[in-house]
Amino acid sequence: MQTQNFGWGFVNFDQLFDDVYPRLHRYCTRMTADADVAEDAAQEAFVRLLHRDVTGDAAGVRAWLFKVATHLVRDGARVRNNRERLLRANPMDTVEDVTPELELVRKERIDAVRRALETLEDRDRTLLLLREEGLSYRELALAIDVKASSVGTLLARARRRLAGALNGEET
Amino acid sequence: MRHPDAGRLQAFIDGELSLDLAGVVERHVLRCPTCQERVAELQAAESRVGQALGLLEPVQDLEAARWEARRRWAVRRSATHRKRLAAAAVALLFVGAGAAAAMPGSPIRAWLGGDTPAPAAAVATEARGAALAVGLVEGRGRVELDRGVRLELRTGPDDRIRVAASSPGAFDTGAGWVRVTAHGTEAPVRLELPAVPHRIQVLVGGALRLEIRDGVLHRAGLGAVALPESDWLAVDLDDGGPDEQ
Repeated sequence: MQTQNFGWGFVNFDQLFDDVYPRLHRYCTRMTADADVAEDAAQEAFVRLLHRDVTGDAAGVRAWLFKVATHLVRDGARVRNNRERLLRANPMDTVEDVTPELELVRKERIDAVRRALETLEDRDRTLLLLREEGLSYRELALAIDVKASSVGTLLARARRRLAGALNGEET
Repeated sequence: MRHPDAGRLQAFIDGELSLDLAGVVERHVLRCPTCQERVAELQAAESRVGQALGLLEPVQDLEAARWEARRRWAVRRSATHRKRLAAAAVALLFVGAGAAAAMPGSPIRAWLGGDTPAPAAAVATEARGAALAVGLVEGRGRVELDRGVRLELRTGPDDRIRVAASSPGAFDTGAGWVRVTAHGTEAPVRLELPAVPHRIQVLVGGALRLEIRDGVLHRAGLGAVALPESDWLAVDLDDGGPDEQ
């Protein structure tokens, strides 16, 4: 059984991984739309956690993981210069027993969500997606380097903008 | 009370306000139609965003992801370890040379002083003894042993199979395979296996007995056992399962 001292006591790596990885991977997938980049970034964040002496409480470690993954996703996207490819990629699970027409509609809806996300500023998009993964305001503040007291305002604005962009995609 | 701003209302909806402050905001919202409308708008935006993002759900294989993270970590740790060893060796060399130069009568001191010609470059020799390394072929390798041989395994420092036999024996090698024959049964044959992705088979007396995939030992009926990186994992090839020392 793997244990690692993260500065707040010994934690079981498997438990930490099981708790955070699904959310981290989903967050990365939503950030990048590239399944390979997302998986790579989420795993790499955990590798770095194991490899380095990361200290802090549980919330701090979670925020650290999301922060590292955010940078990795951004770096990966920048290096690959794959913005166009991102829109074409479909990292989602393929649903069996659906007609080609339904699958096409589904892909169009996914692309519309992606385009709406792309209209957001980087920080707004990051904040929104992190919140969707259940990070508290304190964790969000640590992850994007803002004051916790500013998170509510930033979050409200980001949601309003994304909702507006989604409505624009539908019209 | 003045109208709470959007950020405070958002924090109220998200349950991120202190109990006292949440009570104050709640009492205000209950009396204020304007703020009730703003709360409804924020909740509608939240719901709209949540539904849309729900479409972006990835395929996840938690077990595979955990294994891959561990494998990467093992590779990186090995690389770091090698760098530290190399740095330590260089430092030791300099310290040794410095000490030798400081010793009266040492040939290095005399050489530095110009009294004697520089020594000829040493011929690099590697005392292999009963040990060798074999590269993998497309990530695959094979080790063949005689019956009765004791085997010990661990993860090695590079991308080759390293075989060490402390008893007299003979090696035959080819691309991706090594055969150890005429080895005694007292001392173990030790295998260090790569940290990179691999699939290595161990045959005893011509029969497949073990398979090691990506640092995990697989043996029929015994499940999987991860190879250690420092200790040796002793494996009874005749019967029973692997037993970590």
